[in-house]
Amino acid sequence: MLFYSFFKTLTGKEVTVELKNDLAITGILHSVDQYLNIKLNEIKVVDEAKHPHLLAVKNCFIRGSVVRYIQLPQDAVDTDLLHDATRREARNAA
Amino acid sequence: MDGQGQGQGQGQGQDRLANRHQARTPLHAKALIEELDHKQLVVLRDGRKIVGLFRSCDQFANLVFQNPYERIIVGKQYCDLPLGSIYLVRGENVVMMGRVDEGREIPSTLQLVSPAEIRKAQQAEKEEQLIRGTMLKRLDFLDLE
Repeated sequence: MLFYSFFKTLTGKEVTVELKNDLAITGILHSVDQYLNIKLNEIKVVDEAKHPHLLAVKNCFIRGSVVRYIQLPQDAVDTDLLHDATRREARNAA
Repeated sequence: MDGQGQGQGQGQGQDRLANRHQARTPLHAKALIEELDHKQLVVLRDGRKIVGLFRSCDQFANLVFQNPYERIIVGKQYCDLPLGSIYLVRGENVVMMGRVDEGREIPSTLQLVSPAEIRKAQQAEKEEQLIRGTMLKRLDFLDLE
């Protein structure tokens, strides 16, 4: 559940989600759930001309299983804290 | 199912079902529940886009739509093909779902055409992509940077 908690701390931040179908969407992270399904607000498709369907869409739900990468804002991530949390999680699992 | 609501009128039964649905839906499905009864656009893994009134869902993101249609856009042309009255999309095929802004649904630059025309345009686009693909493959040996 580490990354679930991690993404919860990122709500309200702007992220870019790259999907396995090569669609990339930038938006404000609204919520995330245990499957890492993602909800974004105020979305903008990176290659808008190629996806005219999505011009009418302002918020979206993305199924966790189709996500390839998520680009995060550098200043929103405390890597030391994440590092510690990773070790703690590993210890608890053992 | 616990058998509650047996012998009720159907309307009441459905209300009860809806209440139970809300009460027992764990938090992780909330993201989808919020979107119920709004017009949604769904992108499927095969690239199809479906627009419809979002009626039901579960934790796998299986989705149910009322009066859905497939929206095809090719270049400057578009067409909406009706898909029947109730449509269930199996969750594994869902890429994303977004609420459609009523009113500004279609960019005004697009032109509505008949299903036959859009199919033709779609076919032409597919063939063009195929040709482009094989051309690139043939040029592969040139080791273009």
